[in-house]
Amino acid sequence: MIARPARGLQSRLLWWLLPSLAVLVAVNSVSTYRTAVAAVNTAYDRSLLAVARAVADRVELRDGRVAVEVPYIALDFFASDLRGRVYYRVGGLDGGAVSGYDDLPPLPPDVPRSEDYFALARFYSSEYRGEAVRVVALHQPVLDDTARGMALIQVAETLVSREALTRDLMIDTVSRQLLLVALAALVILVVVRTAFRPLGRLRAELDARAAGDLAPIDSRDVPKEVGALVAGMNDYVGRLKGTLDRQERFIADASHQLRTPLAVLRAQAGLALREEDPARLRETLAAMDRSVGDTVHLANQLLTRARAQHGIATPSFGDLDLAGVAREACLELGAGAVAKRIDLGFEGEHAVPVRGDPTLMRELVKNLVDNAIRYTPEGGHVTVRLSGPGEAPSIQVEDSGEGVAAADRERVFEPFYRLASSHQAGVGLGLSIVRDIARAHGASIDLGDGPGGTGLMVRVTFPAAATPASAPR
Amino acid sequence: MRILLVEDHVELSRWVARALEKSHYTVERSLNGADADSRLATERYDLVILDLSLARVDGLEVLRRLRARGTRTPVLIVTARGEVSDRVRGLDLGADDYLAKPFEIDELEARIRALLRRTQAGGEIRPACGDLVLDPASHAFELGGRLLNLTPRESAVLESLLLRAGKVVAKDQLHGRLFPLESEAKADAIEVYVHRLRRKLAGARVRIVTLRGLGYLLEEVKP
Repeated sequence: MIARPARGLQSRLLWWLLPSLAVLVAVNSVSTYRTAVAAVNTAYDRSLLAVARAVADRVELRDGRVAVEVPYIALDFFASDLRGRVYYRVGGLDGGAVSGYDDLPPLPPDVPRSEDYFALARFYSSEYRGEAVRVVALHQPVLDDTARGMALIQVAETLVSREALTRDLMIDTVSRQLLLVALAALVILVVVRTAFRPLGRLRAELDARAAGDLAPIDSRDVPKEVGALVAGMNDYVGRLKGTLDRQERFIADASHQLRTPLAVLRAQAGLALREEDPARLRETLAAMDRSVGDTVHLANQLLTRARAQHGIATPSFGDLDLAGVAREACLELGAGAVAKRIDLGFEGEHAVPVRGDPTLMRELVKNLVDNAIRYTPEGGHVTVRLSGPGEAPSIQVEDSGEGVAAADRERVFEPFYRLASSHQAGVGLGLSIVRDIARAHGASIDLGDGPGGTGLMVRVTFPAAATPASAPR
Repeated sequence: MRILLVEDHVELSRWVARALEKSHYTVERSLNGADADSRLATERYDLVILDLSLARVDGLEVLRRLRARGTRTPVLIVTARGEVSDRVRGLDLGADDYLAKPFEIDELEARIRALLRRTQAGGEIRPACGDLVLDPASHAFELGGRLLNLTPRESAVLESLLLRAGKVVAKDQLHGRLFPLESEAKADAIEVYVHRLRRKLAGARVRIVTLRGLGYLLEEVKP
């Protein structure tokens, strides 16, 4: 299965910046456009009111009746100025038309008085002769000696001119804002590209590296945020290098260790070929058989270690009874002890609950016990002892072998370390396997003297089962 | 006794064959799976030693075809892989025993003898250790050719030990065999029977070894 890479930071930034910029600009356009339209309407309304006032100036009360002489020139002037058509109507005190277009749409009752002007002006939109019109209704007080009242002057104007101006305004606004968006997008693109250039360089440097090059990455020219990442990566590569170095050293050691018994075998074979006496030939062959046994043991231990390493890398922890695991291991290894005339004992009547990987745990116990049997001379004793109830969970293996001097006790855990005085057929991997598995379980190892001050005691103490074992690194 | 040795490593095949011929077996060597399969289809053998990792036709496949033909020739599987899954699959497919490489010739011959004894005796096995022999039909023990006089419980303990001779038999297991209905009682009762058995086996070529806290092991006493 191929994992799709997460979207890059660059495209993420652009994906967020550009649409939000577009939305902001759109909102701004709408508000600008609205303000402009309001200003246009105010200006046109004022002109309309001026016309109504010009008409109103000519309105008078004559014999109790409203009379007016409309200055057509003024109207024409306005009409041409407004580039639309202008209609008017003058209503008398009784509301009936006195002059102008009788059928102009009447003033709706709920139109409020305009606050902007001192005069009693009301503006409203309507429709006249199939065209949308804007109308001003102006109440002009009239009086003479006999009567007083209000004349109503209405002036209507078609919207052609207003609409033309509004359209111009809209086109102007939109084109300016589009230009702004385009320029801003360009600037953002350039800035983002520039900001990400160090990442590109870093990637090119990594691409150009040889597979085995584990040198730290130069973090001088990278930005602060990426610097932390590079430092983390360098740290990781450093640890990886340590692991690889240890592996390499181990393989070199292992090859050397494998050559030793093979060299012995070859020498023995060489001797056997020259041997004339059948009895001594048999003796040499028996020695060869033992050498082969050593080599087989070494190969098996190398395989066990490889499996343990793999298990440590991918452990599956569960609840275990350490005593049960230990008893099984002892039953399995018992025959080997009997063959060496070693008195193998097991002391663990109670369950010892621990958390651990069952395969690794079995390997740990087997290596502990096998090691004790291997380094104990014929006729000796090996005792496996489990912790009792209430004690920290532990397994302890005592033997009556040669023991390990206090000065050497740290080194016995190193791979292939064997005591200089040891004549036993071991390969020096057992305790190193035990230590690796113990570490993976958060367990500690103590070395001490065997019973009566001779031999070796190895004790592995586990964390109590209630608390989960610390996660392996 | 005619044995087919199926092993693709020429050197190993040659030396194992020579060792077995020294013990008066007639050994035919087959170096790959396809050849082994065709031989097994046409010839009759008393036993097959089968390596699992073979060229051309895999060892498990050779075994499967052999059993599919209804042949009951005993098969001893040998492999370097040593994985439990391989062993289980081999035994599931009808292998009779299993041996991990590298093995000792003595061990190989002991397994061969055991397998042949099982088939030659018409399926009857007479478990033995040193000069102690069990007659499975009568559940009677013979020591050095003479009938051993045992109580039923002594006999049960000795049978458990003999059937797993050379391996440690857990105390719990013996206890469960002897007192199936009692859980904890008579923890040291086993020791009593073992003590009596030791007296009856005194001077024989077998002995019972105690492993403290673990159990017992029946072993042959090498002169």
